[in-house]
This record gives sequence, structure tokens and C-alpha cells, in this order.
Amino acid sequence: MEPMSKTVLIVDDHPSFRGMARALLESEGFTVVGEAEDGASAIEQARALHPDLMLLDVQLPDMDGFAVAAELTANGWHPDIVLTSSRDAEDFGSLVDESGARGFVPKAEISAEAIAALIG
Amino acid sequence: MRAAWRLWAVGLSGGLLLGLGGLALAFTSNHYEVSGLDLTLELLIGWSFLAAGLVARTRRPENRTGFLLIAVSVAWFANALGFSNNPWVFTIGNTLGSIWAAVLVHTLLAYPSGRLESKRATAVVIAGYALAGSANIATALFDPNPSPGCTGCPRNTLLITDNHTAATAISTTVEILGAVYLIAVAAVIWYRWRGATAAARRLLGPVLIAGGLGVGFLGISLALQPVSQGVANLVFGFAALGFLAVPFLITSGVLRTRRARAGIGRAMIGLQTGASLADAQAGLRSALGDPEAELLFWNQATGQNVGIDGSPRELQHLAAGRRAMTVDADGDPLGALVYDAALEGEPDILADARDAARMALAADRARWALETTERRNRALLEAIPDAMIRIRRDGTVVDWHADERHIRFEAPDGFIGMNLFDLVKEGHGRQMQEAAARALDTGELQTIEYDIDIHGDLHNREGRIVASGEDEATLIIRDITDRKRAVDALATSERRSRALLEGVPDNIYRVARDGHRFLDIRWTDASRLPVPQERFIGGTVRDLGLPGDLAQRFIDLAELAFKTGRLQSIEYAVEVGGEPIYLEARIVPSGDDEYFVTVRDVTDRMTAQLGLETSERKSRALLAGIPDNIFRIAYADDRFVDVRMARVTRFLSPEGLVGKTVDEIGFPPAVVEQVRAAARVARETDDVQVIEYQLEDELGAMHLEARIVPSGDEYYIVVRDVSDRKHAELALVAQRDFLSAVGDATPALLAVVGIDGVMSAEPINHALRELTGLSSEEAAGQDFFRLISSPDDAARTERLVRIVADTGEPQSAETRWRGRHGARLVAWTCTPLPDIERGRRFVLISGVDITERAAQEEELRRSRARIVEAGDAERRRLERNLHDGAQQRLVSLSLSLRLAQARVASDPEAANALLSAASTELALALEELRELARGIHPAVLTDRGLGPALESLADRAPLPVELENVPEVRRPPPVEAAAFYVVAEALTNVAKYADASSVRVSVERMNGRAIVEVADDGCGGADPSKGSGLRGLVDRVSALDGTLSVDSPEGGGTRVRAEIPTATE
Repeated sequence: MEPMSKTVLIVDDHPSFRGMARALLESEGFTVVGEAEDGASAIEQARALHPDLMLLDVQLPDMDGFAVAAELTANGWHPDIVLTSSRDAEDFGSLVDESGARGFVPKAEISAEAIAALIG
Repeated sequence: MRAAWRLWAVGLSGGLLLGLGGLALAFTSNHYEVSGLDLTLELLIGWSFLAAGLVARTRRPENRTGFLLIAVSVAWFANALGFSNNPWVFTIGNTLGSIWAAVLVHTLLAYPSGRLESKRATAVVIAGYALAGSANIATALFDPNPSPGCTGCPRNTLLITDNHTAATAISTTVEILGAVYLIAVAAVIWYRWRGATAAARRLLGPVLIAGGLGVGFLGISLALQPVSQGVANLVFGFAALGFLAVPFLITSGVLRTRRARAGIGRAMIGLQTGASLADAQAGLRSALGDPEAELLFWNQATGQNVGIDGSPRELQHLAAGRRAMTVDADGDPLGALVYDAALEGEPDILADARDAARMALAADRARWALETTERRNRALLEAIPDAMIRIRRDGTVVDWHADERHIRFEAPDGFIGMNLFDLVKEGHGRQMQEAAARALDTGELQTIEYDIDIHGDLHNREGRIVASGEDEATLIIRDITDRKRAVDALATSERRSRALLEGVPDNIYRVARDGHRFLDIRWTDASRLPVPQERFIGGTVRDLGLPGDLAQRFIDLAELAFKTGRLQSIEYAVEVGGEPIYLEARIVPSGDDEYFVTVRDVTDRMTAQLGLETSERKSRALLAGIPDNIFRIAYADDRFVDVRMARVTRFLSPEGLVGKTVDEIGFPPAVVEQVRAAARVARETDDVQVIEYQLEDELGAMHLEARIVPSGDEYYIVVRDVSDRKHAELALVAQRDFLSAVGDATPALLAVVGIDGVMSAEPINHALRELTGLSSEEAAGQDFFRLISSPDDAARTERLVRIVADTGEPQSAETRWRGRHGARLVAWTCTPLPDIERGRRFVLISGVDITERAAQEEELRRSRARIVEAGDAERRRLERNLHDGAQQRLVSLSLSLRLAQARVASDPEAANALLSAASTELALALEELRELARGIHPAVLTDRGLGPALESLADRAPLPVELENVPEVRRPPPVEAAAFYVVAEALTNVAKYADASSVRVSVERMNGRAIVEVADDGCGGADPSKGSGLRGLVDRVSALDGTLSVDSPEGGGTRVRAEIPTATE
């Protein structure tokens, strides 16, 4: 039997990116269980859906991805969160490491392989 | 003398004839039985009255009492005619038998002057004469034998008819009337005695009592005659005794003068010994027996007589029964003596009393005059300039002026800035501080006394504090050490004099005139006798061994005293135990053979007097040391009374000055009037006046300062040559005026400020007056830090001025000053000034008003910050737009291409659809990038200039845009960019807010400027202060020294106009 595919919550304020990311991840075996367009709904959906993985954009309209990650990991719960952005990781310095997320993947390089390298 | 001798000769021989005549009639009478007792009484009474009358006539020729006494005597002897055997003589004697009683009543009622003083007395006397004259005549008309009980009397020649009834009736009536009359007279005399003053009672008493009793008994005797002739005769005997006493008592009164004069002499001893007028008055009262006698002294200033209680007395309005006599010395009035009118009868006593009063008043005046001179000189001394210190309310010394005897500081400069209240002794500091505060608060002069230690000497000081500014007082210090000592000395000497008066320290000697041998001695203090005590006992004046010719002078004075009847006095000094003793002796004759010498030790008085004289000399000496010219001038006629010139000037010589008036010394009338006016003010205010004046001749001008010191009826002028000072002042004034003119001409702000902040007399120049709106007068003497510095900067300014004062190095700063229209920013420099006022240090504060420049600089700074900020904001916007737009599309494009690549083999159709979508996405990304690039800087502007760029803008605008005068030549790129962005921003705003139907854009060239205007027909009401777009334009235009204005009335469209210099032209 094929192992159960990992569930994913995609968080980004651009619909075109969300659609493109869903198609890419689903084609590589992930199950996209939800999409969120801002930080508040991302936290809400994460707590409701308990996805295995959150693909979380850094730049959101209401709060940034680092704050969302900090909020979710504050109470001892550690979902696998991968931050992403159209900018490079160097643009954020140590913010990624301090946020509680597993790591960072640039948007242009998103793939199951890159994510697996981060979450094991 | 001759008249008196003739009177006595006539009187005595007349009296002898009358007496012997009476005796002859008595012994030859056939109807009178001779009685030795009767005759003795008859002669005794008659001669007594005669003798008393002669004595009184001799001693008091002006007094009629003597005449009346002689009349009584004659009337009395007329009785003897009744002894005659001749009927006519007998009848006359019988008829006149009662007249003597009427004359006696007249004498008593007229006593002591011999004149009847009242109408009542005159009426009583006339009634007496009428009764006595008519009574016996009336009886004799009807009674053949009018002498009762007379057997063998001669015929009554007056008899008309023998009518016994009528005769009895008349004689009874006469007797009753006579008795009533006499008793009434006795009562009148009794009342007169009772109503008399003490002095009058003492003089009149014995005579009135004896006379009144005599008259009374005579009346009773008359009343008793019808009842019992024997008892009546007995009572008549008492009456006769009373009458007999009258002449003796009157004589005694007349002779009493000599005793009384001795009493006055004794009183005078008390008068001279430096005693007060009160003591003199008490002595005179006792001597005159007049407890209300008053000694008045003549006040020369008011022209009035004044009692010892100090209140004036009018000699014309004395109480009833009082008389006054003036006392003078060689026509110079000294005062007056007020006494009982009864004493008028004792002219000798009054003359002595006048002498005594003269001595007392003259001694008093001499003492007073000496004290006045002393006071006057001292007043003059005190008018000499004192130390003056100007202080602020807190005691800080601002300035001072004094000579070395007032100041104990070695380094005078160090005094300024010190706190005066801390310098004097602690208690006095507080006292001085309070007085200064009072002076400043009330504006009234305050006087304090304190003492201060100067080089180990305690000095008494008097300080007068007057307010001399808003917060500044001047302390005028006078050294009153000498005055204080003099007051103390005077008080001591006064106490000593009082102690002296407590006891009667006289030694009294009774000396026989013959041989001048001591008869009796009373020593109060024998221990201070100048010669051994035993030489007095039984010795003579010559035996005492008195120094020099003193004994002979005593003897001469004693003889003079006898000769004149006046007290003589002598002062002399002897040595006892090596010390001088001053003695005062008074010689008073007592009878013709003896005299009293009263010796008093007056050493203390003399010492005090000598002390006063010494002090007066000292004052003179001090005055002599003053380098001023001093003139004493009478107020009455402005004549020079005294002159002391320390320096003779070419304008005035002391020769012949005394006696001239101030008009006669050749001074200009204006100066004379100035002196007169000041003298008047000095007299009215009783205060020293200071004037300055100038005398001029071909050699030049002399400046003088005169102090005018009032002193009673005169004034002093103390003149000092102040030319040097004045010239220096004038030079300074000229220099100051020049500097002031220069200072007023400069646009710099100039202030001359004391290092304490207090501004000088001419403190601020024209420019600063304009800036502050203050006048020089308003600023003078005020505190620069408070008046001109802004409150926030006052402390800093004060600190900098202090640094300049301490280091002498100029200091600069920019602080706010108070301008007339609000605070001004001033860049100023503070530099030390050379001494422009003695004793004060000043700095010059010179500033430039930089308020406008600073505001412009500030605006420039803000504008620069806004431009930087606008650039930053623009970059942020670009980054965001890139990130949100083109970048996102490129990310999606990248993912699409990877997805298409993954599916190209398995699902070519899907891959084809993905590639098609990616192509569209790429086209959109390119378009967004182009739009972005245009927003950064329009390429058409760079490539082709403002005109095509504006056309491009107009084409893309959402409403019709009309372009006018679009330039065809190129401008410098910054100018073109600024004009382009003005139009672009304006068009954006029109599209967003104006609700306009069309816009007109014009660009013109005018005077080297590009005028850019964008006008719409929209709703207007735009507020350029809101929104960053317009502000950014303002900054952009300002950076090119251009201006931007917005005119946007509500409902009237909006017009944005920029003027931009085209700098290269």
C-alpha cells in the first residue's frame, strides 16, 4: 500500500501563486487541504485542519509569515512550516531560524524534493 | 534830701505846737478835769500818726498814705479845741470832734497807695466825712450843752433854740448812724482782707486788722453810749489802742523794705549759680512772698515773652490783680517779671526783683547763646559731604563714594559687588536691610544708627537710606561719633549740674563792716576751704591770706554793696590740694554794719562751661581744616556776616565782603537768584541744599558746588571748586555724545550693560530701540537680562557677561531677545568696555537680528528632509510595485514553465495550455515593467523635452487637456522635470478630486522664469497643506529657488502656478 500522502495548507495573498503551487505540489504527491490569503485565516485554518505541512508566504497583508509561525509554535505544537517568498533567504537574515519554521524555500524553487529536504 | 529835711522840720515843729497848744488848753480849761492818762494817750496818738506820716512821706513821696496820716494827726489834735474856755473856740472844737475818725477811715480804705481804688470805697469815705461833719453841728443847733456830762462848759454859740426833745432825737440818731457806719466800715475792711492775694495780705494784713478792730470798737462804743457811758468809755479805750497801733504798723511796713531787700539778695544767690529759670522763679516767688510771681524770657525769634513752661504770655492781657514789668539789659529785652499788683506799693523791692530777674535771664541767655553757636558749627560740620553707597535691595554694593575716614577697605574696587548687609555687624545688617526695604517700598527716607569698627576704633554712624531706583537705594553715611560723644558729655554735665542743685552747697559768712571781721560762719564743706579753717574764727578778711589782691577786692565789693544797696558778686579760682577750685561769692549788705558773704563751689559748672567752650573751639578748628570757602549770611537782608575762605579765587576776595549783600559781590544775577532760591528751600525744609553753578571770565570758566546750610536766622554757604570734576564730566559727555551718534547710525543692535546687567544711562542705540520698542529712558538703569533677554535665555546671557567680566575675553552667542512684536533671534557678541562711569564696569553687547535668516535656513533644512523623504518613499513604492507586480508574475511564470516541462512528455496538451498561459503572463509582466519605468522618469522627457512629454501626459489623461504655449526649446533638465511633475501631479489631482470637465495647461517664459500653470473648471476648495503630493512639488520648485502657489476658491476651479527660474539664462 502506498504511504498516505502528506496534507498541505498553502498560505499566500496572490491567487495565481496559490493555484500554481497547488498544481505543482499535488502533481508531486501532496494533498492540498486548504488555502489561506492572510495570516489570521492561516492560523485559523491550521488549527482547524492540522495539516502536515504549511507552505507559508513571508509577505502577507495583515502580518508577516514569521509572526504566523511564531504564533502557531508558541504553545508546544510544532507543525512542519516551510516559509517561502519571491525574495532570497539572505534578505531575511536570522528571522527564519528564530520563527519556529522548518526552513525556507524561494518561490521559484518550490518542489517536493526541496520541501522533503527540509522536513525529512 | 533838702525837701525831706524841710518836711521833717515843718512837721516836727507843727506837731510840737499842736501838742503843746492842746496841753495849754487842757491845763487852762475850766470845764475839763486834767487826766494824765487821757493827755498821754491824746499826745501819743496824735504824734504817732504825725511821725508815721512824716516817715511815709519821706520814704515814699509819691504815696499819699503819709499825707493822710498827717491829716489824721491834725484832725486828732483839733479835738483839743474843745478844752478852750472861749465859747467860739469851744464850739468849733466840739463840732470838729469826730472828723479824725472819718479821716482815719479814709486812710484805712486808701491803704496802701493812699488813693481810693474803687467807687464804693470813695462813697463810703464821703459818707464818713458827711456824717462826722454834720452830726455834731445838727446836735449843737438844739442842745445848749452838746458835750454830754460836761458841767461848766462854755456857751454853745451854734444854739438856735433849746429844744431838749429835738436834741435828744438828733443825737440818738447820729449815734445809731455812727455806730452802724463804723461797724459797716469794719466789715468792709474785714472783707477786703479776706479777698486779698497772699502778697497783698502779707503787706496789708496787720494794718487792716488793727485799723478794722479800732473802727469796730469805736462803733460799738458809740452804740453803747446811751446804755452805759462807763462801758462805752472802756470800749473806746480798746478802739484807741487799735488806732494807736495803725501808725506803727504802717511805719513798720515802710521800713520793712530793707529787710525784704536782704531777702531778695539771698534769693539772687540762688539765681546765678547756673540754675534754671524755674529755680530763679521759685527763688523770686519766695522772696516776694508772691507764690504766683512769674519770670518770663524774651524769645528773640518770635518776639514774645515766654513762661518757663514754654508757653507765650501777653503782658497786655494779665490776670486781674497782676502787674508786669519788662526786664532788659542796656535796652535789649531779656524778659519780664509778673507780680502781684499789691507789690506796686514796694517799689524798692520790685527794683531789686527786677535786678535779680535780669541776672537770671541774662545768665540763661548767655548759656543759650553758647549752646547755639556750638550747635550751629556742628550743623555746618555735618553738612560736609558724607559717604554714599548705592546698593540693590539684596544689599549688593553697586557703587560707592567716600573718603578714607568712612571706609575700612583697603582695596576699594573689591567693595563693589560685596553684600553691604554682611559687612556691618550682624544685628545692624538686618536693621539696614529692613530700612532699605522700607525706603524702597515707601519711597520715604529712612534713618538708622549703628556702629562699626574701623581699624580698632568704634565709630557711631548715622545712615540715611533713600530709594534711588526701582530696586536700588542709596545709603548716605555720616560719622556721628563726635556728635554722640558730645551728647553724652552734655548729658553727663547736665546730670552733674542737677546733682549740684540738689543740696545747697554754700559756705556763708557774716562779716562786720567795720574791720571786715567774721561774726558768724556756716560751712557746708569745710574740707575744701582754700585757707586753714582757724584763720576764719575771730579773724578778718585780710587775715585769710587769700591769693593776690583778692581780700582787697572783697572789701571793695562789700563797700560797693553798701553804697548801692545791691548784691555784688565775684568769681575767682583758688588751689586746694594742687587742684583749681572755682568759687563764686556774693556779698549782700545786712543793715548798715554787717554783710553776708555766700561762697559757692562752682568748679563743676565752670568745668562744664569750659568743656563746652573747648568743644566749640574744636568745632572751629575742624571747620578750619576743611578746604572749602564758607560764608555766613543773614536771611533778613542777605548780608555776609562772616567769611572764611580757604581758597581765594579770582572771582571773590574776602576783603570787605562782610556787610555786603549777595547782590553786591558782582556775581551774575542768575547765580545770585539760584543761591537765594536754594537758601529759601533750605530754610523751609530745614535741610541742606546743594546747587552747582559756573562763573566765567576771559580766563575761562570755574565750576562750583555750593551747599547751603540753614542755621536759624542765618545760612551758611560752603563752596567747593569742582571745575576739574566738571571738565572731566563734560569731556566724557562729549565723547559719549559722539559714540552715541555713531551707535545710533549703525544697524547693529548695541547695548551698554553693567556687568551686573544694569544698563547705563544711555543704554541702547537706535536699532535696538526700534527692535524693542523701548526708549532710552525706559531702559536706563534696568536689568538687561530681564528687560531685553527672553526669560529662557536670561541665565545664559548673564553667564556669558560674567565670563567677559572675569576674563576680559569677548563672548558670542545666539539667543532670543524680546522684540516689540515678539521674540527675535539675535546673534551677539559681548566685549568689555573701558571705564565709562566711575566705580562701575560695563560691557558692550552688539548684535544682529537673524530671525528671518534663521527661519529661512530652517525652512531649507525641512525642505531638504522632505525631498530626501520623498525620494525614500518613491523607492519604497517602486520596490513594492516590482514585488507585487512584475516579480510575482515572473515567479508564477517560472513555476508554470517547470510544470509544463514536467508534463510535456506525459500530457502534451496540458503542457501546451500551460505554455500559452505563461506567454500571456510574460506579456503582462513586461507591460507592468514599462509602466514602472515611466513612473521613475519619463523617457520622452529625457529624449525629446517638455513639450512632447506634456503631450504624452495629456494623451493619457482621463479628461480633455488643452495645452497652451508649450515650449519648443529645451530647458535645463531640472527645470523641465520640475515643470513636468507639477503638471503631472496637478492632472492626477484634477482626475482624482476636481470633478472637472476640462483642464488648461500652459508653460510661458517670463523674466528668466518658466511660468507653469494648470487650471481646471472643477469644484475648487483644494487645500495645499493637505496631502504630500503638492508639498513635494513645493520642495522641488523651492530647490530651484522657484515658488508654487495654489488658488482654489470653493466652486471656482483650481489654479496651480509655479514660477521656476531658468538658472542658466
